[in-house]
Amino acid sequence: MTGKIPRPDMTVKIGSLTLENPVLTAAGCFGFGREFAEFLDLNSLGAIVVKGTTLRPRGGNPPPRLGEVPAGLLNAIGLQNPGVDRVMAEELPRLKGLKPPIIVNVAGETPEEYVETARRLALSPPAAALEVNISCPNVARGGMAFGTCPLQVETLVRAVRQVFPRTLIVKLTPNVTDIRETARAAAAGGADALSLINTLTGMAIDIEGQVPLLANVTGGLSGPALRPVAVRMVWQVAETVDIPIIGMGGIASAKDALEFLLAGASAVAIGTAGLVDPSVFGRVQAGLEAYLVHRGIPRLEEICGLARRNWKRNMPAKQVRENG
Amino acid sequence: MFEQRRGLVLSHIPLGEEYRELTVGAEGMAAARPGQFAGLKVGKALDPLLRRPLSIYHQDRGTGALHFLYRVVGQGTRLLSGLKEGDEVDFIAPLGRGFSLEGLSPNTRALLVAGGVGAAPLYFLAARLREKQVPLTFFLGGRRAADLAFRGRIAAALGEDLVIATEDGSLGRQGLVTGPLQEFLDEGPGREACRLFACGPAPMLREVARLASVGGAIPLQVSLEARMACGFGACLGCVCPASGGDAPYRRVCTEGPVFFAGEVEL
Ligand SMILES: Cc1cc2nc3c(=O)[nH]c(=O)nc-3n(C[C@H](O)[C@H](O)[C@H](O)COP(=O)(O)OP(=O)(O)OC[C@H]3O[C@@H](n4cnc5c(N)ncnc54)[C@H](O)[C@@H]3O)c2cc1C
Ligand SMILES: Cc1cc2nc3c(=O)[nH]c(=O)nc-3n(C[C@H](O)[C@H](O)[C@H](O)COP(=O)(O)O)c2cc1C
Ligand code: FES
Repeated sequence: MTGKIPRPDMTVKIGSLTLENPVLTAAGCFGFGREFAEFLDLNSLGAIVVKGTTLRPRGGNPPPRLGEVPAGLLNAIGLQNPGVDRVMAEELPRLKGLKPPIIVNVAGETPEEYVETARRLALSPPAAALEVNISCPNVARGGMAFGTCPLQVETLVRAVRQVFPRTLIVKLTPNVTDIRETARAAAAGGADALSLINTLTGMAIDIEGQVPLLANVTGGLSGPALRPVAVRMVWQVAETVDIPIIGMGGIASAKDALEFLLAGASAVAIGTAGLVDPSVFGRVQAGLEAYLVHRGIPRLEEICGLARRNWKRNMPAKQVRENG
Repeated sequence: MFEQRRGLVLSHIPLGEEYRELTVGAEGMAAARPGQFAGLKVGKALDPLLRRPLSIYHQDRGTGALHFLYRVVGQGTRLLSGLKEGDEVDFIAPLGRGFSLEGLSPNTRALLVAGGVGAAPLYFLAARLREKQVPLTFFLGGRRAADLAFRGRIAAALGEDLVIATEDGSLGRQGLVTGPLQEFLDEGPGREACRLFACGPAPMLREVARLASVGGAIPLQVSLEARMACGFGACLGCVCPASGGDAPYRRVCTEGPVFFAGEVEL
């Protein structure tokens, strides 16, 4: 036989969206796509997740906003963005006509802000989906992040669900004791899919200046240093809910992406690695495809959660109960 | 228009203990403007993760080859200093907004003020100004002679137009570089013809801005530094406080690194 090996089917379904391939951009690490258009064909992406958008414009945190740590990045951007109205008037129209769906990441300080932002975005057809970032401090509740209290998560997601009829993704924070609880709450509130993980809170000290490295003192840890935590959380959440998971946290190669898919993610997003090397998106796509071709697997879907299934087959029942 | 590419190290020359001049092939790349920079990956490993921003020190007209002048200060620049002729470097260039040369003519005088390795983008500027026959004076300061160990190329190119000051007096005039600048402004040709360009530590930039503003403002462009994650405008990590305008911050990597003094808080 000399027949060509057919290319594997890379499509994935997230809510009502069908993505041509499973590689997405992570919110806040891709702006509104304009800068990256210099490096890559935006049409080659599975979906484009754009910057965190809030009801009103936000100036963001004072500098320094960045710190580098071993194989990782600390950031405290502070959700700088022009506000939902300008995003709808100026940024989203530019993205119209692209093949990949546009997913708008949404943030707020009160439940009302989230709902109003989502309501407005519902009127903007280029916003194919929302990704609700619930890691933000809830100002009304003394700054505790929305995403840490399951009850608040469920209420918030339900409220957004009511005003946004298209695909609704909820992005979970890892800064919790048990991410399965907030995952369950988001699903119960009506989320179509979950994104995880957002950054892990951290800090670093400048030992020369003897002050915190970031003006904001604490920041979010991203990049490869975060990956094992993220893979663990995807694994746990995949066992807990039935909705698709977009896995992220430190992905810098196809090998990294495969860990997430095998742990139970349906798609992956790349943030920090793309800031450093914009060619990573293409490399990861090609590497995933090569992995499937090499193993004669016709559809990407088949490897999603495969490590879970293999592990369950090989482990005694008691251990499965304890670690699933 | 910037691009990501790999280039070969054409030469890598130590200049004193701490400085290096690195030349990287960039055949066919867009011509860089003085003040623009490149983001260099300093190794293949994940640590350090981020690119290191380095000003373009010079670009060869014919081959497009990029020269960098850098100081070894930490992990990234130390790794960079290990590159050998023939090694490959991954870089993104040319990045950022460079110096504006608008209004400069043989009838104006450019005053370039550099603190230490801040000389890198200003040397590129000086070379282009020379081509346009704009008269210039280059003020170069450091704490001690060893901080200016890289000055050979600059001194050879600029001759009499280079004024050096060191804080300990081990080279050139003794004192801060803004001393001779102030004298020049007090005694030299009319301020109206002068245009100022500065790159160096924040206190130096503030003093230059002060001198530029007292007694008939002189247009001043400064090249700023900030920690950067992407270098091309996507992450909003590199901002500096804006002065004027409706946004509180500006991105050093794309709206800068060169700003007019009135655009940012120095
Ligand atoms: C637009 C721009 C142009 C630059 N041009 C040059 C140049 O031509 N020659 C040169 O020698 N240096 C230049 N720098 C500074 C250079 O980027 C830093 O010295 C370098 O990134 C330090 O890396 P490191 O890993 O060796 O040091 P690190 O271990 O990361 O840090 C050592 C010290 O350098 C400081 N530092 C780290 N990153 C930066 C940064 N991005 N900007 C300023 N300080 C930093 C740290 O705060 C610390 O004090 C430029 C910076 C910018 C933003
Ligand atoms: C500079 C920067 C800005 C970010 N901004 C947002 C944001 O606006 N909204 C959000 O939900 N996540 C934001 N994130 C988190 C990322 O989307 C992603 O969840 C996280 O960085 C982990 O992925 P990574 O390691 O591939 O970067 C940001 C991350 C970084 C590094
Ligand atoms: S470094 Fe990313 S926006 Fe400037």
